[in-house]
Amino acid sequence: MGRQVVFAHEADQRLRVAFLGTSGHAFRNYLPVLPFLPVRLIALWDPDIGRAGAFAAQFGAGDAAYDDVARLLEERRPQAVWIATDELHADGRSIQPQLVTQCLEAGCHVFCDKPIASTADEVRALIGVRDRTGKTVGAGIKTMHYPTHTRAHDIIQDPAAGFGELVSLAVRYPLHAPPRGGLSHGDGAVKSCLGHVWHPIGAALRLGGPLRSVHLLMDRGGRNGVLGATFRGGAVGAFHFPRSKSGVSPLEHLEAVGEGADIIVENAAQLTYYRKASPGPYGRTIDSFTPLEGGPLTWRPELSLGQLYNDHNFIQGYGQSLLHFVEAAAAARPVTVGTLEDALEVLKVHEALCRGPGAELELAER
Amino acid sequence: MDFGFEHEYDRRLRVALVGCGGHAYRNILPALNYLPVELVATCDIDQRRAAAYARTFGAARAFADYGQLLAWAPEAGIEAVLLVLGFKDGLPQYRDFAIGAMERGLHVWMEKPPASTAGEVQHMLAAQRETGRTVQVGYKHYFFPALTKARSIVESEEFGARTSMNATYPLRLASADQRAAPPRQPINLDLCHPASAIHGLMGDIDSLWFDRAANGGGIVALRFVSGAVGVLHCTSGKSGTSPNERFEVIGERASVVVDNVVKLTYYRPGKRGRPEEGYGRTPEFFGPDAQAPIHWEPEFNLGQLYNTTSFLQGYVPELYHFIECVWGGRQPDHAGLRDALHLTHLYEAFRAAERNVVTLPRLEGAPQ
Repeated sequence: MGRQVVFAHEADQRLRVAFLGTSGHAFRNYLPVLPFLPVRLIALWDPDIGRAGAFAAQFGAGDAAYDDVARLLEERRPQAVWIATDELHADGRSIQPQLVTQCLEAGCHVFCDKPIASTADEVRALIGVRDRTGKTVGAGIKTMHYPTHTRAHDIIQDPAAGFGELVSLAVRYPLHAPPRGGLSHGDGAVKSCLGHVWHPIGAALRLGGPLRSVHLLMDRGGRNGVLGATFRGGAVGAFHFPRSKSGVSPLEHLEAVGEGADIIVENAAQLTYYRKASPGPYGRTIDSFTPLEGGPLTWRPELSLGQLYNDHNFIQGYGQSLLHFVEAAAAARPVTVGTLEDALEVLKVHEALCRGPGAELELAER
Repeated sequence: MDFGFEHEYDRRLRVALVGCGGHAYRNILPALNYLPVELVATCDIDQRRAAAYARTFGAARAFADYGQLLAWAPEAGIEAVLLVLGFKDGLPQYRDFAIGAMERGLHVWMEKPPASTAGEVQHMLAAQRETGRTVQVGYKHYFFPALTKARSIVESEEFGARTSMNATYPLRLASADQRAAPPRQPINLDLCHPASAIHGLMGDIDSLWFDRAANGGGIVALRFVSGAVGVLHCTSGKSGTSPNERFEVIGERASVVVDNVVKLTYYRPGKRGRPEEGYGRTPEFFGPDAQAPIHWEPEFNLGQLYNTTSFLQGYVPELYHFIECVWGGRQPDHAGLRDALHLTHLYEAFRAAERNVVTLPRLEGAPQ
């Protein structure tokens, strides 16, 4: 049976949260999840006070709109702050690490959407602030919370499931990898990569753990790339970045191979677990069935019902990532998925990609 | 191609089958039913097997000695041999069989892998050029209907330049110890399948690099002469119940996927939603019909040719192409010795390509 939620008004205790940012992403993907979490939205911030006011009114924070983060924190005293803003510094870096630090220093737990920072060093600094303040910090790496990826992770980790050790992993995602090294934070390719690298690498992180080394090849036109990778756990990985794919083809395809078993996640929502089994000897077998206990298992959401599980906010893990954070924050403990350490691993890969195609690169341990 | 039943063709190529194993029994001989051929003789070192195969598939004579078959060929009017040989001491044994047939004026169709060294292929190429015979290798993936269709798509103007690809195949990469003892590498047989599929779709390979997992699975990164890049996921640890292969090619705002041999989806250049809608403002996932993805797969309910193994896996098309080339006095467009040489170079490159970029010898007439 799938996990259940309570509606916000049914919860015994509700976390008082403020939201920083009024992007379309926040409007579509984070704020609509609030009714299904034990939270109360108490204030909105955006540099555009008009938008902050509109969002506050629409999502239940009344007239608590701010264009000054410090004043919001001082006047509203939220227990937690969620950050999802596209605002940038003049050099093209995200302002999000600054906001995270500001909120942690004010005593708030923080959930920050990707990109939580623009460099690995910024994340290392955030880890220091988090550890000093003792607050809970969650990073919005949605592919780590896809229900399909969570189930794939559970299958891989559960000895009883029979997957064995992860041997190899292939992930297809149309990432815009920078065509050469030395580009600035403000470069379009670097910004695009920073905005999206979380998706394929987050998926790989969830299923295979951190990467140890990467090796990028780009096509002659600098459009598409393939990234060979080695996981610290010993598995090997392949990433295909088909940026010039058709606009009507699915973005994602993931395949994890174990020891006589494999898992395919197609288009984010469909999972097939091919269990360890064989239809019979080569060349003499006239049907392809196995005993039921060895048959492939396929799950995909039922899409005709007014269910939460077929809503994109839950198919894409937004709801799960926020729920995971809220539960951790309420219990004053760290998150275990979408940690700052996970964000650091993603940004190390981003920085390797930003060095451009060429030699195999070892990623730093920390 | 206009296929008929064997007995309906006005003209039939007289052939002998050499090598009576399970593959020939299941896949090659049944394919002859739909080809303009006449099976005149069989040959195997096991005379009883050769005789049994001759009876079952309608040949008049059975031989246990290849030399005797070749000596008898002119008298019997045999025009070509189909070589479906097993490995000897772990190595393909086609070179001497193929050259022997060519020297007696016979055309040659041989199964893959044709050789374990590029030198063997060079010898066969020299004999082919000297005798002028048609020679083709049974790289069936060049002739899978779905891959053939995909090739026509990726070569179209609409698709644009091929920019990248990914493939899945349960290849088991040889260990360093095995690679250090050439020419035997366990991957030779299996490599033929994804390598010929990828080559057919993408053209000549410029270089490769691979990383091997402990069980022999791994990943192979490829750069093509055209400038495109690709990755092959070697899924040797996969379940016995999951499909072996999937190929995807990316063009310029278009892509094509061939899944499990028979399912082909062409994602044409296009966009979901209306043209004026920006990201995050598109309420429905349809776009113009002219940009909709196209999907084909066989109907499996009917007793049709197109859903039989002989056609789905390219056996009839590849042999038909061979016969056309024999009658046309030319070499095959695909799966000839030039392709065989390139794919054998690829096989040889695996010896040194573990976490090293290895560049393949460049051949004339690169299909790109």
